[in-house]
Amino acid sequence: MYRYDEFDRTIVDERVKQFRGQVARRVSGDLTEEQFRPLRLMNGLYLQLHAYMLRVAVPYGTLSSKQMRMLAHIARKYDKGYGHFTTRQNIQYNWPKLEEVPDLLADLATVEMHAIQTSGNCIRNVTSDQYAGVAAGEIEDPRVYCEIIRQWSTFHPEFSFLPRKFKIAVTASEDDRAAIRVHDIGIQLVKNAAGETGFRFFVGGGLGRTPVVGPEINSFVKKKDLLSYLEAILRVYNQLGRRDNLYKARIKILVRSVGTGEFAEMVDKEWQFIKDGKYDLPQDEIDRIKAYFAPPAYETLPATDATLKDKIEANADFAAWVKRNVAEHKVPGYGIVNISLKPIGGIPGDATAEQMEVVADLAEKYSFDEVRVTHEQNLVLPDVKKSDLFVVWEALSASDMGTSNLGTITDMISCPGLDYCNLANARSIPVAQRISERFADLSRQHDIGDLKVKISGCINACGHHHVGNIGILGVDKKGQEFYQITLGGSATEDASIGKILGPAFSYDEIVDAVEKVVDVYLEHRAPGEAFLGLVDRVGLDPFKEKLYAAH
Amino acid sequence: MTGYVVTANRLDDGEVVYLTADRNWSVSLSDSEVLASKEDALQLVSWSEEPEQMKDIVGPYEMEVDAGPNGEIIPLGQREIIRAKGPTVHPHFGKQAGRNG
Ligand code: SF4
Repeated sequence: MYRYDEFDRTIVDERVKQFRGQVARRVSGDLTEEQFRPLRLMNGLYLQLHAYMLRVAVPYGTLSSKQMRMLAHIARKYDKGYGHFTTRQNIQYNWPKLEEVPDLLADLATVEMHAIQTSGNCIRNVTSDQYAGVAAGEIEDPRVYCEIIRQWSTFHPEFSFLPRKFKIAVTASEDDRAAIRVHDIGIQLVKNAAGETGFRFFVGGGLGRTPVVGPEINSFVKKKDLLSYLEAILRVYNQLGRRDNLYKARIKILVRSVGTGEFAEMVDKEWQFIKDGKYDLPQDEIDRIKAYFAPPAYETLPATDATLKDKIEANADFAAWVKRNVAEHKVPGYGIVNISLKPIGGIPGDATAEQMEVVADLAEKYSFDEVRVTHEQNLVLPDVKKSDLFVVWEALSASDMGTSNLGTITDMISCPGLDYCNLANARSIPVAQRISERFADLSRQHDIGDLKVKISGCINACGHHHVGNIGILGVDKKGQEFYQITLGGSATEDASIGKILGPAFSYDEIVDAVEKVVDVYLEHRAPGEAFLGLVDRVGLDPFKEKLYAAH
Repeated sequence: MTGYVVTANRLDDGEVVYLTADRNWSVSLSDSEVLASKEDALQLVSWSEEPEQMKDIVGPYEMEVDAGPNGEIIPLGQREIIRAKGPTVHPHFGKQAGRNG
């Protein structure tokens, strides 16, 4: 894992000190709220419906056990005993008190964590594949480049006041688990015909009011050019992005208005000024960062484990969990364990301090001290020996984290919605909970198979509803909560934006409506046909008939 | 009959507060002053935005309320109902916990 150098440590410590002074001045009245607000936002502190909310960065979703324990400590000491993992692989606390936030940040800094650039119009936390470094078939560990981008973008003076927030995701697998096509910049590590590794760039993807699947603007950028090319994109955006209209300020609007080809040319032109200059990324710098992400000391093991086989045969629940939640590891004898933060009827992405500690202990004991946060609001133990899977599952199950529902209908993404969020139109969490309860039966879930449901409480789309196979968007109708359904969205390598099914459903109707959508799928699917395949094949009509016929 | 209440969040912990007739901020909606017209409410919002008031609160605005059968003040709209109680998914957190009445 990456460890802070002197420079990182100093800037984080200084920032805590500076924020302590700013809070004191706000409390004493020396700073007005107008003056203070941008300062607190620069430190990830929002004001929500009932309290402040602090968003803590988890760089590319990687945590050590020690860091996870600190997150638990913070949940207990400064919050109400829990935290919420987000679609940006970060964690949010819902109840910190203003005057305690500097102490909280000082505690975080002791484990090399902070809340810098988790808000505001800057380059946000770079996200990545939760299977980075362990996925079978991956080209390289993408976190090396995430870290390089993090260092380049942190406090970048030119890009601290962009037209709008800016999100970058990096992956190195064909299977896109990081939703790169719906980021401002999505980067995929690829090999060219000569066998060299470089980067494929997608620019101008995003959700929100105007959902767009990002188009490719360059199919191969050399490794050494990573930062100069990024710099060129950001310069073009910084100069031409619309600052006059909040809703048109994202880079996707710029790319759309000038056209992908023209945008790529503008970037290229800018790039020529800075290429082969100070932004060049020398191989020894890549190697230096790479050393932090060196693979752990794996044992040489047989690909299959006899004890695992016995346990699977003896225990159907365990077998179901292994099948659903354990992914293939690149090293024989190991598995990637997905920890579901979606127990039936639970709050998607929430974890209690105790649960965080259980995960930290398991990571320390069984996964080389590492945990990952996924953009689908789950956790991952990346390196578990197959022979340890059973004990890990038992421990997770004892703490309500062993549900074998990865990728099923109950593994929903849900934003905080109107239960917490100041911008919300409608609640998201209780809708997710009710859907989860409706489909509680695991055998029914497994029979339905993979099905991604994503819920947002407003058009800002933090819950990624546009790219849900079934997307649910909360809307406000005269103070009442209503929900619009979209079908056919996807956030993976075949990214697509869901289509609106028809008029919205009330809070009471929405769960029945979702169940009817599932019924249509089960009724019409060909053997082995995925939900997206069916929607592609038959369109929305059979769904419309079922849902609106009686209206 | 609908009326208006001026509301904000408390600076130190973000707790929802309401403006009372004696120009204090209370955590309890039942303490608030109900104003008959939106104009009156907006005037008080302007007053709340003065630097002196803004020492203790953040983001004052007017909200609509209704009178219940026993004269209690009922917030209108889901957003204000939730602000007045706490998250519906955590019945023990927020004002509904009873801590602040
Ligand atoms: S989607 Fe809307 S309601 Fe949900 S967290 Fe984002 S801003 Fe809030």
